[in-house]
Amino acid sequence: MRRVSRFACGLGCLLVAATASAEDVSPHRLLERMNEAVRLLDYEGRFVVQSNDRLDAMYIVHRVKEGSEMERVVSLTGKPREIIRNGEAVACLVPGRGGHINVGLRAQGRSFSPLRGVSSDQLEQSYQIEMLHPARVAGRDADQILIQPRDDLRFGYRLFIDRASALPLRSIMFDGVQEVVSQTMFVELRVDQAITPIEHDISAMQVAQADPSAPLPAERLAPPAWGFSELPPGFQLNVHRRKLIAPAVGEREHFVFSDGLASVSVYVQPRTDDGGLSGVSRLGNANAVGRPVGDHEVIVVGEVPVKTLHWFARHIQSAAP
Amino acid sequence: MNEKQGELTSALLDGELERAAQRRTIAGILDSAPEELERFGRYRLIGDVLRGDSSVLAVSLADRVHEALRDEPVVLASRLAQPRPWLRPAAGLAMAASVAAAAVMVAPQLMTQDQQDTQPLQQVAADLRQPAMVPTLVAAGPAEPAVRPIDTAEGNGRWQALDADLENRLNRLVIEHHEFGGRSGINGPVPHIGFVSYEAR
Repeated sequence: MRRVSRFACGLGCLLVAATASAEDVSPHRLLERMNEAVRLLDYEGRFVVQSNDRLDAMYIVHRVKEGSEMERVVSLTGKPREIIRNGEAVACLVPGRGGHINVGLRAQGRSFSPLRGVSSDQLEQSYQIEMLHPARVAGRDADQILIQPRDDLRFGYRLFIDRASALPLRSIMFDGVQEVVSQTMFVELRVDQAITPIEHDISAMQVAQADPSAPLPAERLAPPAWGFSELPPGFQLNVHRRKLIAPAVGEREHFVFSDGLASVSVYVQPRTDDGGLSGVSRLGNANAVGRPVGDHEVIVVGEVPVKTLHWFARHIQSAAP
Repeated sequence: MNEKQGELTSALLDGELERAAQRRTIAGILDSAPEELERFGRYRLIGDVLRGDSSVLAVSLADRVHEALRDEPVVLASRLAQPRPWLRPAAGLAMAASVAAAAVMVAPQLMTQDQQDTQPLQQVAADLRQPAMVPTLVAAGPAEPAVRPIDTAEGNGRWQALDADLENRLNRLVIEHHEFGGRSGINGPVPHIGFVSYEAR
């Protein structure tokens, strides 16, 4: 199976490389290839991340085995932090203020691309996309794409996409005044060649198997109890889910909106004892905005300007007539 | 990176630069050749070690998970009547993830390329007041996994001015945001970068 998997990955890489080298490639097609590459290829490398005045070095290994993504991301600087993910779950081992390990849930064995939910025309309504001159990053030839937002509700991006693999060698996110919000850049990258096995690292999660026979309570399939009187231009709903917090507390509703590139999550749940989030906070390149709505709390998270988060928080309302 | 840039990098890591100079220096580092970034990595490591921040470099934390969970009570008896010894260290984490994963249901539209054109499991647009919203995926989540807090390294504040409970709740929400928000590569190779690359000084 490993041989088949490696062959498939190798073939995928070759296909990506062959098509990426075509001279008539459009920026949209390049974006699509990048979307596929980050999810479908085996790769390993080190990269740096800048967010505001911080600069950190990171290590990543990503593998696809039998259609399921496995991944390990480790901080190389500062305090040890790590993300381990397999087909069923994601564990973020981070020294938070409470010193907790956060175990989350993977949406499925492999991730999806929000870009698939929008057409080229839709994307063009939100962004102006153009090719810039080629460049070299991490010793590799890269195509360069500039993605300028057409309004102040989203950030812009400058991408350096590897010609050989279509992986994003460098990604710069900038705001409305062209200030860099965050950026990542590979300094070393290997694709589908002697990738470090990561099965050992995720062994703790191997037994975390989903039980497909578990019945889903009918109330969790119920329509949303909340709606939005108006959405920011270009954003559409991609996901709605319900999650039981605790029987005594109730459910949390989760909406995920995207314009094809940027994603925003809106959470609504009964107010909690911790006082809730009021105002704005930030983690890495993600902003968060919270506000109370009646006896509920709304928290909006996303890699977009705070103005956009406020838009969602302001326009949410009960769907009950 | 020339000698001056090297000095600036050193000053940056020592926290001696003003904000504008910090930005210029960081930009200079990122525009440098890979071998100079290596030098930055060495500077950074040296600084971390001198400050006692990091004696562990790129060492898997999986062992820490095993260690932390070694005394976790095995409560999977109903599913695994005789837990195998090698499962024991991971049982706590496994239980949490298993509970978390059990009730998930996702429509295939965004998840699988082959089935992209199939109909969503449940159209909820009609129930939302914004007609432009066209949901393409409906997922129902499970109960909150019963994860016992496990001490990792000593903590640094991340979400500023928040208490620990709220911070941990926000952490969980951001994880879910990244998991269900998809992965495009637009912000780099991995959506959870914000979780790993935060305050490290």
